Amino acid sequence: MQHVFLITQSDPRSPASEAFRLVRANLKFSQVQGSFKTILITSTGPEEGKSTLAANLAVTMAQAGSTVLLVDCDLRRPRLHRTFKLKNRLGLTNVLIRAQLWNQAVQTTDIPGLSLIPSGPIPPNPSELLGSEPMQEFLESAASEYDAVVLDTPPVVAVSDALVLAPLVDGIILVVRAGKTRVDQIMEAKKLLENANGRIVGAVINAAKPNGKSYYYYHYYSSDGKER
Amino acid sequence: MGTNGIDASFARAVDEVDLRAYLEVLFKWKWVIALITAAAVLTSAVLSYLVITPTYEAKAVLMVTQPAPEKPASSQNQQGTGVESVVESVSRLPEMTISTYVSQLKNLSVLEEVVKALNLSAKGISAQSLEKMIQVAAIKDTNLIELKVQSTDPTLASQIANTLSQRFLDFISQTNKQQLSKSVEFLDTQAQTGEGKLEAAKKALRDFQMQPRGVTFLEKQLDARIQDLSKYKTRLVDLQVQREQLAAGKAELERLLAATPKTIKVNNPLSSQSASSTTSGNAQTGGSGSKLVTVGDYEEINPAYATAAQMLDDRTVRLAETDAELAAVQKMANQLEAEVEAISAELASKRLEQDRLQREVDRWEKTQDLLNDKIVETQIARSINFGDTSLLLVSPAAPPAKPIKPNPRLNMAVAAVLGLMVAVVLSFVMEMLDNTIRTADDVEKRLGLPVLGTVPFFKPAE
Repeated sequence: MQHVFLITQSDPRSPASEAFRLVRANLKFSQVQGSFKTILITSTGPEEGKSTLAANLAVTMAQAGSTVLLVDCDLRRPRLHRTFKLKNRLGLTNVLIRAQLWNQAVQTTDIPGLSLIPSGPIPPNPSELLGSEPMQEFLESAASEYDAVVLDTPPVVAVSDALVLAPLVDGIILVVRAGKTRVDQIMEAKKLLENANGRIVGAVINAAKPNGKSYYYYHYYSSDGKER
Repeated sequence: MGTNGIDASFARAVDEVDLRAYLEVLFKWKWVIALITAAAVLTSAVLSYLVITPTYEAKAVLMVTQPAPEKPASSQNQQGTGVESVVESVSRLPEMTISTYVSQLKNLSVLEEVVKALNLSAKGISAQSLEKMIQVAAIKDTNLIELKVQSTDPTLASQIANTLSQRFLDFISQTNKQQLSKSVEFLDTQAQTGEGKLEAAKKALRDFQMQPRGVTFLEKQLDARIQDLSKYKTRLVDLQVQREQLAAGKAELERLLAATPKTIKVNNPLSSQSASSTTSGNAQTGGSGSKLVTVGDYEEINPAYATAAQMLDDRTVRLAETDAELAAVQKMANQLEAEVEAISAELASKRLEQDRLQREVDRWEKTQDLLNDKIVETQIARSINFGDTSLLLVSPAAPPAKPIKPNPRLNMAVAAVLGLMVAVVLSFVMEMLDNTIRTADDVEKRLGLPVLGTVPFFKPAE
């Protein structure tokens, strides 16, 4: 399992950080068609960069002066608490079973303006929990308190968690890993999300990790200069 | 939407992207390529070193000492081409060009002998399978023939090579001997029949010459006749000249006679006129010397006239004689001429016949000479061992120390190249079959979704 790396925090000048900021900007432009505060991030399969995008997007938003709540909705393989070096004793699960008020599950990160609700203890029935009443309530109130709420979810094709959440959020971002994500699967995912009344804002392409341990690779998908 | 910038940059980079894409593909699959290549090399190494039994090759070299000229240019363009070339072709050795030897070296009967000699059937080698072990080739621009034998057993390979060359030499001399024996036989029979023909021709000539009225006889006869004819002809000319003279003389005399008075009047000048007329009349009646004694005149016969008349008579007689002779000679000459002509014709036809017979005899004699020469030549040739003189075993085969097959290095190199090619092709095929999202383009075309951003790969700097 890859460790989620906050490049936007450690190296804001890197091309990658630049790309995350571009995502943020594009998202902001897309809001003309209707505001969306709650953003769900998913993909077709594991290891495609959902959590990385969620975390880094949240960081860039916070850096731009927004108040951002990052929610780890991956109740199967939660990772975000580790990214921000926080504890996962208490989290979303507790909120969803109404054992906790949601704002008590919020933890502040060392990035100003960015807060996190980790997954909490892993439940036996994540889909059901995520589709429950408390989740809807939590999202509504969180959206009213924060400028943006970013949800990290499990992949679409494997489990239905993201589909359950799709109608509850304002916008969905599909993460595509170049050279890994299959065309037929991503199309399937798109169809499923649309059928579930989800509103897909757009896709973010994650460049494939070069094979092997070589440090050499083409900046083939480099977004360098794409704005200039 | 913010994606237009991306599109533009892609359009600009399309050419670059092509080559890059290929390199990218190769780079992406480099481990697969390396692995397949390595596997191929390893497989070929294992096969070459451990699995395949090594094959050895023994090599013998034969030298053709008397290679037949590729095509003998007609050296003698005389009249001898007819019979001579026929006889030549019969008595000639089979024309063995180098390529003939090369193809003959794999002659099955020779191979059978080799199989027997080395008891190869015990090793499960038949003549047919032996043929597959053998390679024969003429070395270019030389009169050397290379004989290569491949076998898994090095000593056997060399044995086969040497035995085969030896057997082949024997085989060649044997076939040559046979061929030459046949030629001698043939030539002998030819010579015998030719002899008979020659005798017959000679006899015909002799018979012809012994016939009556032969050529020589006729020639002599003709000569005699021609001589006679010329004699007659000269005689004829003489006679004609003589006759001319006589005729001229006769005319002269007649004129003289006319001018001469028959009688001489002696002292009687009166009747001179009448006398003259009488004289002429008298002269016309043949000038009989009757003496007219006219009364009144005394006349006397003119002596000059009498002499002239006498001479004229004489001439006339001689002229008649000459004419008769002339006619006779003329007739004789004509007869002779006809005879000469007949004899000439006969002689010509006889001569023609004789020449023909003579030619026949000459022709047969010539043929016989030729045949006899050839017989001697062929007999000499037969007594020489041709197999050893026309072919030589220059270098006998030694048991090879190193196997020629497999060549592990070559095999591995080939395997490496093949493996690499297959791997590269395979990686491109995989790439083609790979239906993953690559570019922002793909997303927009396939999904109809805007691309919010493209995040390059980054490594956690831990």
